[in-house]
Amino acid sequence: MAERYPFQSLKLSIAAICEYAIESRGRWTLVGTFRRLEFERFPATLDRMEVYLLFTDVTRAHLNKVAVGLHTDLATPPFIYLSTVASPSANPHEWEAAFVLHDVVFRQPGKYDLAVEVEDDVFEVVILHVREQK
Amino acid sequence: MTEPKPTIRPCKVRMTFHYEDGSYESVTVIGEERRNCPVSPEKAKKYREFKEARERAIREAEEQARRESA
Repeated sequence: MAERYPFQSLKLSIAAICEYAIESRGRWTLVGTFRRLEFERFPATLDRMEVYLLFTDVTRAHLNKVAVGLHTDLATPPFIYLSTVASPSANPHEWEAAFVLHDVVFRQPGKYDLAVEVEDDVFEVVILHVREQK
Repeated sequence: MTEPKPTIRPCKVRMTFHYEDGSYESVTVIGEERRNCPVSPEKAKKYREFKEARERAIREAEEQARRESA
């Protein structure tokens, strides 16, 4: 997509929403991945979720700010936005990151947009379905 | 229902960097968590544009699939 310029070479190989992302000796284990949540009533609070990202074909030009934002709809501002600056000691070619989101409040059921951002530009969007339990 | 208050606080983000020679580096960095905060007009425009581009791409893919199956 032309909109992704200047990130043409960068790939987001995995974007996973899970209960836990556990790192040990450079290897990650994802526990309880999901794309759908169900609650009895709204507003509903999810105690914890993690967003795990694997970027490949990384170049130095890509490596600075990475962020995830949870939107009721992408056209509106995120109600939770986590950002950070990468700090590698050398020039990596793959980059993994895990963001922990606590006490996430879903005010109503619907399709939520989880935006992955690189250098303040939206890079990819993951849909999270939130439903009312029948 | 009252509107939630904007809050900003630090957060920890874990990262692993993998190098060409097979070595790796795992670090925990301090990031920023913003809740219910407004965004700049430029950022709001980026969100809208990405959403529009995404919807356009999906529509075009669906139309192409329909044409190919016809």
